[in-house]
Order: sequence, then structure tokens, then C-alpha cells
Amino acid sequence: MAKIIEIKNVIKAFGSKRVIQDLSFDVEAGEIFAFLGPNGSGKTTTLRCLLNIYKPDQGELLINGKIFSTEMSEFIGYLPEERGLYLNSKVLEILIYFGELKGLSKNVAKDRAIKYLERVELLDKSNIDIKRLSSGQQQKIQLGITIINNPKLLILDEPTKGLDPINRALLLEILMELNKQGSTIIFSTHQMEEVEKIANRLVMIKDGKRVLYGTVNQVKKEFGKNLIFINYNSLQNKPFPLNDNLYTAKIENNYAELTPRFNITNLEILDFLVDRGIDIINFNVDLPSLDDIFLNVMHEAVI
Amino acid sequence: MRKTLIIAKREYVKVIRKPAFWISTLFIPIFIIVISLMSGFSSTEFQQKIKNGADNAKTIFILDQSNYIHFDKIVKPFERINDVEKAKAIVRNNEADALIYIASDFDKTRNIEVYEQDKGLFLQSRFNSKVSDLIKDSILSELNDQQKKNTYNANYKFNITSYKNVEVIIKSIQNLVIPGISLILYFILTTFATSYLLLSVAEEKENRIMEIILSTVKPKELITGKIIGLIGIIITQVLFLIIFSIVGLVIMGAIFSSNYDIHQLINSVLYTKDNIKFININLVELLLGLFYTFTGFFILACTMVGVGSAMPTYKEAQGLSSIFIMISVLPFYFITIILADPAGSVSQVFSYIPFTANFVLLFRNALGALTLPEIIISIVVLIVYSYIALVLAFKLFEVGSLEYSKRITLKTLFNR
Repeated sequence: MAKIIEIKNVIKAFGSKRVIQDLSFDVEAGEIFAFLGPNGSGKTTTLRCLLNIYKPDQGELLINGKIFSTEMSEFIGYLPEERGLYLNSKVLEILIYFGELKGLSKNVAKDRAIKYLERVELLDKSNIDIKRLSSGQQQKIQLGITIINNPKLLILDEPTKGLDPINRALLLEILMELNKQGSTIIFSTHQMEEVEKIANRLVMIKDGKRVLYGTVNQVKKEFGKNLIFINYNSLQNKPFPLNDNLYTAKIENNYAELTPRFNITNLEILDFLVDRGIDIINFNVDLPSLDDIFLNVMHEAVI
Repeated sequence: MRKTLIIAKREYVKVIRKPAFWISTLFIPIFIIVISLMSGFSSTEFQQKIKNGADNAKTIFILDQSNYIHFDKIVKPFERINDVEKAKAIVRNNEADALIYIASDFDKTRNIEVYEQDKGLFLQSRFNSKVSDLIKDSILSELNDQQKKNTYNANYKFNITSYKNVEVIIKSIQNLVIPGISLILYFILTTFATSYLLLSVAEEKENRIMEIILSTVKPKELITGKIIGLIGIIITQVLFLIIFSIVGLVIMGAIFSSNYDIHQLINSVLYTKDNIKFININLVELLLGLFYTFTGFFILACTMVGVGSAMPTYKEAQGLSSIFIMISVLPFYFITIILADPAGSVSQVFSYIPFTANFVLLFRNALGALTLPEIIISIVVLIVYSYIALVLAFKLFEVGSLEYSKRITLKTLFNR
């Protein structure tokens, strides 16, 4: 697939503090790409460098093979982490204003703005001042500004930050729709379940350095450990058997979470438990969650 | 350019739609009119009070040991007296209004002693002009030649021919019309117009919308758009002031003049040929005035962009910007010194200090007090100041516009 974003060996420092250190990754056309990292890891700075708001000290950040210029805003939508609105302006007026700035004619901008307001159930608020909207409603307007030009590339810095579960679900739904229509999406987030839900690939950074990179499943396989979740009948008053050669275990009442030792298969563990007479109700094998990987990676050594 | 014009249009409409804009625009002429009327009224009232204070006097004793005052001129309320101490006692007991004592050495000292009943600080001098007139009348009465007497009392006409650089120049108070308008324009630009620009930049930063905008337009397009919008606002404000003045003149004329001819008045205001003759436009001075006004506006506009970008909130930005606005209008306080000696050292020093330079140069230009080398130096200096202001504004904008919660220090500015 064609690369729509190329980040190549980027270094950026503010004064003596290096915020991004030799960072490289690509985003392919048509994918949803998650950009992960703890607070202060350099995600926002990277996105600002990508949009040429900050100049990198070294390396290249390219969109469709070129350094970003504001002329590209006609096919790009950017939702920054620190986002606000003109609080004293009318809802419809501000959507049209940004539509025009992104190259749409006034009439087209107005049509799209009205359709979007209908979609997010805010059409009845189109002629009121933005300051009179709730914060969730204001976030919908911010998203509207971002996507009014039907962008081919969406760059979203923590798009679901501060949203309630209903609005978060709506936003993810809109993003999936846009992706189906051909938009490439790169988004930063701390919500790993969002990544698992919609992302094809991800990169995770720590202190400006890349620590994880690949498809969601690749990352899980490569950096996570297999987990076995067991529900069993504890009425027999038998203790859950322990075997340090096979696994480590966390046991609570009739539930056990096992981490297999290196080169031990799930079947070997199942056989062992059946041999010990454990009345197994449920035996589930799962890859670790991204949340776990995130926590592990952040606490362990940088790759 | 398209984006710049979209921004300019928005900035213009945003301000023009605010009732506060029209209230403040209306407030300027009303404020000027009210202050002028109050000042004129209080001055007339004051003069009248002084005159009444003297006219209402019943007894003013005169003891003239210099013999300047003729006896036949001493009529009521004046009354001759020979005993100073007795007259003082009468005045002290409030049985007479005042005692005027002119000593025999008046020729040398020109001193006149006045003993009066206290009527307040400002009425202490109420007898001065009456006594001066009495002395002058007495001296004049000794003059037998009626023609000389008429000449003494006449108002003289002065026909002045001024030379500058060997040539004769025509100067009159009418020459101050265009510079006067420039000064009013400069005042509007510095105090009102640039504050809209500050509000616009600081509001975008405070509302955290700057980053969305900067991903769509270049900083240059954004700032240029804002300044074009601002110029539109100023033109609207000035046009409004002109229309308001004409309407005001028509209404005032209709109210106060019984022989009022509305067509004549409108013609006198609008008939440009006559007005140009009246105003005496000097093209070089006019262009220079425009240059000083525009660069002054530009430097302050850049300053407002810089201040708005450097401060985290509009309130803090407003506090800092007021310092620059105060420096810009500082020469107003030295206006009498500049007027009295437009080529003097005070005027010259202020002509090269950033923020005060434009106002002082504008004023000195109006008074014809700038030499050719000074004009050249001032143009170069103001272009340099404008360039520095522009560079600093962009640098502050680049560094500060996305620092939502921090003030930008000089260290931060030059570290980035």
C-alpha cells in the first residue's frame, strides 16, 4: 500500500531538552493508525512537526511525499489536543468559516455544515453562540470543523479526550464511516480499547523514541505474553495446583489467571490440570490486552 | 490571498456586529464635544464670575500716591481715601469691598496692593482688570491727539511673510487641518483600533483555537487578514465620524440658527475646491504625515500581535499592551513644549524613541519643523523600527501562540 505519511529519523529539541529522538514510522493509505505513548512522550510535538507548525531539527516528515503546507489543508483534517472554538460565534457560521478556509465555496460549506449538524443532532443549535453549548456539543463542533472538507487524511490528537461514552462511541462510528469512504486516519490516544476496536496498526513511543510498531496483532504476539483464564468448580475443596515449571498463577476463589512458562503449550497445561482432577468450567486462551502491553513497555526497558 | 480575505472579512464582520463597537465609535465624538463644551462653558462661567465679582462691588477705596489716576476717573464703586489704616479697618470689618493702594514708587515697582474681602482663591484677582483699566484710561486721557487715541484702542492686523530655506512660505493655522485630522486618526489607531487586534490574537490563543487555524492558514496570511480587517474597521469608524459630524453640524445649525440655509452648509462642507483652498494642502507634508501615521499604526499593530501571542490570557495581554499604548500617547503630555519649540531637544529626542517617534514626527511635520536630513533619517529609522517590530511579532507568534498557559520570556523566545 502507498505510504501517505512518512516520518524519517526525526529529532526535535526545545532548548537543551530533546523531545523526539530519531523517530521513524509510516502510515499507509486507507488505514487507521494509532499513535500511542504516555503524556509528555512527544506525540503532540511529532504531529505539530508533521503539520510544519514546529520545524524538526533533523529528519523528514512527509505527507504524500511532501513537507506539509497549508495548501494541503484542503484534503487534511487536523484535530489538535488543545482545541477550542470562537466562543462568541454562531455554530453554523464557524463551520462555514473553516469550510471556506479549507477551500470550499460558501454554499458547499453551508450544505456540508448542515448535514453534519443533522448527523450529530445539533441542527437546532446552528444559530446560537458556541459558548452556550455543552462541552460535549462543542467537541462535536470541533470534529465538524476537522472533517467538513471530507479529508483524505485525518490527524487526530486524542480525539476522544473528555468525551462521555455515548459521544465517544459516536465519534468512533464517524471515524469508521470516514475510513470506509477512503480516509486515512492517524490518531493519538491513551484509550487502548479504542485502538483494539478500530486501529489496523500502531506505533508506541516513550521519551520521543519508538518502542512498539506494527499491526495490533503483531504487537500483541511480539511484545505480550499468552494468558490463560480458567473458571473452575471449587466445591471439591481442592486447592488449585501450582507448577512453577509450567506456569505462574494468580488465583481468586474459582478463577485462575495463568501465564505459561517459555515453550510450554496451552495443551500441556490443560492436560496437567485435568490430571490433577480440576473440574474446569471454562478454559480461555487470550493474547494480552494492549493496556497490559502499554503498562509493561512503559515500565520496562526501552527497545 | 483568498484565505487572507476570508479572515479579513470575518475579523471585520465580527467587530462591526458588536454593539460595543458602535457605542465606542459614537463615544469618541460625543466625548470630544462634551469635553469642549464643558471646558468652554466653565471658562466663560469663570470669566463671568470674575467680572461679576468686580461689577457687584459697592465700595472700592483707592489710595493713589503715584498720582497716575485722574480724580475725574474715580467714580462709583471707586472712592478716594487718604488714610490707609482706616481703609484697611473698614475693609476688614466688611463695610467696603476692597482697598487699592498704589505707592509713590509705582513707576519703578509696578506694584499695586489689594486688600479685599475673601471670595475664594479664584476671585482674588477680580479687581485687577478694573484697576488696570482705570490707570490706562487715566494715562490715555492725557493724550490730546484723537487719532492716536483711536489707534491705541484699535485691533491691529498683522500680515506675516515667513521665509524658509530662502523661499517665502505661506503658513497659517489652516495648515493644521490635515495634520490635525492625522493626529485624531493616529489617536484612534493607537488607542482603539490596535486593541481590536490584541483582542483578536489573544482571544484565539486563550480559546485554544490557534492550532486549528495554523494547520489551515500560514501565520502571515492570518496576521495580514487580521490587519486588513482592522483597516476596514478603521475606515468604517472614520467614515462614521465624518457622517456623524456632518449630521451633527446640520442638526446644530438647524437648532441654533434662524437664518439657517442647509444647502449652503452642505455645500461648504462638501464643495472640495473651496475646501482644498481653505486647507492649503502641501503634498510632501501630506505624504509624510500619512507615512508617519501608517508606520506608527504598523509598529503598534505588530506589538499587539506580539503581546497577544506572548501572554496566556487576554487580561494579561491587555495589561502589558497598555504600557505600549501609554508610551505612544506620552507626547500628548509634552505637547506645549513641542508646540513652543518643535525643533528643540525634547522634540528631537522623542522623534527617535520607538512608539513616541511617530506622534512627535507627525506633529513636527505639521508645524514645518523638520529639516530634510531629519526627514530622511526619520524615514530610515521608522522603516527599521517597523522591520524589527514585524520580525519580533512573527517570532513571538511562532513561539507563543501555542504556549497556552505560559508567558513567553525573552529567554524562551531566543532559545526556540
